Amino acid sequence: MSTTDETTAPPDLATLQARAAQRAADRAGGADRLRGHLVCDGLVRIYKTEGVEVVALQGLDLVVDRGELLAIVGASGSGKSTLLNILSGLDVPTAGIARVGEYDLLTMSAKKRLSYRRHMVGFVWQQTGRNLLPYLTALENVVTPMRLAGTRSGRAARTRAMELLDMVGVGYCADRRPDQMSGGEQQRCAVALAVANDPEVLFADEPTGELDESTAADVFTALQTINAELGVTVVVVTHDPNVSTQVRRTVAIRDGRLASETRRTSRATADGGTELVSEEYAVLDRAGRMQLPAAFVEELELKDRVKLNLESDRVEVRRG
Amino acid sequence: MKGWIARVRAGAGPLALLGVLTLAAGTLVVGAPRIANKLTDEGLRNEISQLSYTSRDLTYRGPKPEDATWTPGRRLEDQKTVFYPALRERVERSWWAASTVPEQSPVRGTGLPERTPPLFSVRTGSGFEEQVDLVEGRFPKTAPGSAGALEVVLTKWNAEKLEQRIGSTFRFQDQVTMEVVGIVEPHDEADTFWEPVPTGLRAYLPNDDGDPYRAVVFTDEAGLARVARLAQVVYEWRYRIDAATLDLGVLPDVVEATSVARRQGLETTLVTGLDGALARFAARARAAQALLAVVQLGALCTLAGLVLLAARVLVTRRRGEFALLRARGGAILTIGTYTLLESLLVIPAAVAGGLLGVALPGRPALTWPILVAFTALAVLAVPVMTMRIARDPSFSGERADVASARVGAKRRTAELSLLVLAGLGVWLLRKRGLSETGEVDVYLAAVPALLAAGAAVAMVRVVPPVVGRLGRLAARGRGAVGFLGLSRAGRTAGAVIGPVAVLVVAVSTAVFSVAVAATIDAGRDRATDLRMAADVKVDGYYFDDRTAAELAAVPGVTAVAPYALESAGDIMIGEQRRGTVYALVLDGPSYARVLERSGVAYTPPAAFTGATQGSMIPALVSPEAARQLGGEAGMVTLRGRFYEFTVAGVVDGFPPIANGTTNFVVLPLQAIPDNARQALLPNGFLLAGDPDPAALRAAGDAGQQRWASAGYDARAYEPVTTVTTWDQARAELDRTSVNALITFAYGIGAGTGVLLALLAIGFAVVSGARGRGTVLSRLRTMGLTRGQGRRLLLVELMPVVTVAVLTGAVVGVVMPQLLAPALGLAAFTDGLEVGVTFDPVVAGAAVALVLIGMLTALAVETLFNRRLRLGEVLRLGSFDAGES
Repeated sequence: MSTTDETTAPPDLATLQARAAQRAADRAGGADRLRGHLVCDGLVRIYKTEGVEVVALQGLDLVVDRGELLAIVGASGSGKSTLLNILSGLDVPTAGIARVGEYDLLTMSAKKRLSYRRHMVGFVWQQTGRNLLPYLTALENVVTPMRLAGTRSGRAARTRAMELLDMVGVGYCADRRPDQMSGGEQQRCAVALAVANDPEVLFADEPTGELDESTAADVFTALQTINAELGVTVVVVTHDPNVSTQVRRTVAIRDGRLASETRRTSRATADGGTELVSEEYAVLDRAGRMQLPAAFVEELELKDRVKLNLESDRVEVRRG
Repeated sequence: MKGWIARVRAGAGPLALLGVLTLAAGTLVVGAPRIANKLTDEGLRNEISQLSYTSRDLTYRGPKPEDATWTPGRRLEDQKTVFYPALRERVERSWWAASTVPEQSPVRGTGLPERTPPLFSVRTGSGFEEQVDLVEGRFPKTAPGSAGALEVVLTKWNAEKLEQRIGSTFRFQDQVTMEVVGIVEPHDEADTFWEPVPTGLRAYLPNDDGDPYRAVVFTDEAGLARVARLAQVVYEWRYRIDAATLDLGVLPDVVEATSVARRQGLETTLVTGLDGALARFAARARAAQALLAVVQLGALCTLAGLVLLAARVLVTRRRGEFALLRARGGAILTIGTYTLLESLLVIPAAVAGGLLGVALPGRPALTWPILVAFTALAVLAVPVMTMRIARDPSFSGERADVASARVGAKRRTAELSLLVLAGLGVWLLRKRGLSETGEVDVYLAAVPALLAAGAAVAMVRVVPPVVGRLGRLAARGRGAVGFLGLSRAGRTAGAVIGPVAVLVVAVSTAVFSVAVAATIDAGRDRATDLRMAADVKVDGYYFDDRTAAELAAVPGVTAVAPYALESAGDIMIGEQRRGTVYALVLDGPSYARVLERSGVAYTPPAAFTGATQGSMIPALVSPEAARQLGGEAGMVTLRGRFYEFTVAGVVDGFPPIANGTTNFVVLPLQAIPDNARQALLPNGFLLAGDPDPAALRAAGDAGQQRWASAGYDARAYEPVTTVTTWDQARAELDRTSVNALITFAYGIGAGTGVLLALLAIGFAVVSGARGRGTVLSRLRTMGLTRGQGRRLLLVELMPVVTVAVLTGAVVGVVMPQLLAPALGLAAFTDGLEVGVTFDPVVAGAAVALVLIGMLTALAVETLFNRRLRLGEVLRLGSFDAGES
């Protein structure tokens, strides 16, 4: 579809990607096991509010590999947060397939769901105030999930918490309560908290939504670090254009379906530097449906009907 | 531990409130019944101590057969031994006495006029020597057999009045010589020892009118033996029950033991009114305690409601935290345990409340299970609610307002069940009464609270649409405050069901108390009216004919009706006596005038007021008297004469004849032939007006003096005129034994009701404060002033609070009507069944409560929103502010 070339200086996205893939492969026990960490197939979620049905997801397909750092973008109400809540195990889909690792999100028992939340996934929400317990210090907050899951306790838990806080760059906030930290510090602390139990996947719902640009960059760096250092698969829902340019893969959701996907790959330039190549793809579902980008539709004034011509290596779309 | 402390500190406010509520409940549950018991027991002792000795004491009377071998002192112990322990252990003092029947004890040679020989009853018994000081001489030591004189002692007063001194002698029945060997002075003439022998203290002195002198002289056992053949000797064994050992708890046992004691006499018969008096008191106390139970349960339900509200505020405020814990891998049980550990802190408060209650004076009541149940509620409310929220956590927080405004099938079923339960309770209560078996049924006592809660539920369903419509109306007018406030009130009314229900229960408890108080007050007013049938009543022995005119001349008197009464006249048909009646003779027209002018709402039958002289006197009779009479005519004895009458009407009651008198005949004075009226001198007057009681007494005394001085010989009666005003008679009713308990019950009901109602309003404000804070902040960005903000709060709360208070008031007023048969209010109103009255004060108080409630609301809101820091509310977005 379209290809844009961006030449970027370090931090080297390609390096980070490679390191994350390596760590993930280590965790999974081999690079051949990286495929299909998160799988959504024909995912449907219907809400009922005062008798009115709202179809938030209309058969969404998505596959995320282990160790990937994925951004999900979309307009307000497109179904991003619903998808994230389902993947986090906080909400249950109405129909379809949703699988994360070994966990089938549709048929999980309450006990399994609890274990899923304890060991498989971590979250960071948009509202800084919602991520931390207000009456505990940063360190105590990070220790809490470990104590709840019973994975570590006492000194071991505190040591691990301190490591994580240091990793995301807020070690100096360990003894502060949320009201004594800035929004960015709170969010970074939340990132540390989310991975306290060493989850395989981290979900972040607009983690930088409430923050200014530089603070947002800090938080995103923290996410990247976690992804690269721990090999955790990270799925970020965001509006932030800066974020979407710093991940390898961005998917866009429109009306509860996957609309397009942008992939960034790095390649060596002629002068010996590294070049990031961004390619945007339309997504074809299993029934062969795809959405044309709105810009294309406007440009060619496509309306109601279009003609499709099958060529040897492509399909042409013409005005009908 | 550190986390626990942090969590406790985070929820300190609501937790402290929970603690305070539990403390209050503990004090109420343990303390109030103690005070109630104390007041009841005091009332009981007071009532018993006011009884005459014939009613209060157990007195066995009987003769001693000639062949009997027992000694009276021994028998005093034997008789006591056969009592049931409940009675035996409560005997404070006991005496035996034996005396000759006065009528068979004439003496001669005393030096007193002997046209009718003086009657000196000879008495001996236990305890005499301890009761007196010997002034002169010695105590009797009559020699056995017939040697020497029968030795007696007299009181000093008697010795002087009867002109006897040491060495004086006289003859019993002209046969046995008696000699005065001692003069004694009682330690205390008011001591109960002297009650059966008033003439032993002070002799009856006739005024030379043919009556004999009457006195009691004291001797020893040998002395009495000398006259045992000449006169009938009656033995009596008297047991005084210690009032201090009586309380309501032991009453049933004592009543039973006393009833059994009637059959336990050793060849004697028992004279006592104790069992009856105790049983009557128990009935009244039961009614009063049932009332207290209703009021207490209302207060307790309100407290329980407030506990639930406090728990809800706490849980709602921490909803985000619980969702977070759950998202971070906390199990439902773990989160429940966290909050359980926090709310365990209310247990010390409950213990402190219980101890406070125990510190209050009074007999303990078995109420700790209620306290335990209440504490369990306070401890478990928060964890259970937390677990419910944690089971279905809201991570996105979207549209919580819509969810809580919707009425689910579960909630609808619960509400309907509540209504059914309340209805069933009312039906059962009317059918069975509250305390028929002596124990107050908790479910039935809770019916008023259930009823109030049911009304609240119904109200919360009805009000929002109406308020919503008002809001739309307000939208057409000028100004935004009315419209905004009413629309919000219409939308959130469904969500504030909790505080509204508590408010309704609290207000209805308060109003119920006031309404019952008003009903009892009105009942007593009416009872006083019927008992007095006048503004002032003047009683005496006999008044002469002129007294009526003199009383009428006293300034302030507007009408006078003289009456003559005979408390035990006989009704007869021909020669045959048919029964004893209370006979009253009244002048019809003047009676009607007094009734009218003193404002007594009673119209005497026209057959009575309009009766004229004819062949026979048209009389009013009670149903029982009519039954005894069997026919249309009869005779009644009055002052020793016969009056023939025909039955002009059968009436259930006739003021001022005491309510509950079953046998009475009322004769119209104006219909009695002139020649037959001579004997019917008035012994009392009914007066209308507001005269000076002293002036009435003076006029009455003069009238009695004239009557006493008339005739051949002056009579020896001291003229004592009793003037009873309406207020005095009314106060007499207020002094009934369980009155203090009833007042206490009102106090609890009205006081806690109002206090808790205000607390409930505070909760209504607090539970919606965050949501309102957000709205206010948004509106303030659009230009709302602080004053408008306050008005907005008032407009928003006013409909709900007003309707809640009014619903509570209506339920409170209606409740006594529904429950009147079960409450047994007649026990407090001289047995008079009264309709429930509406006190306009209730309406005023309800309005005042609404106003005070709104002020409280403003105060709470100001306090809360100052702490809320409105700027932050907006920045945090809708999730945290979405509670309502």
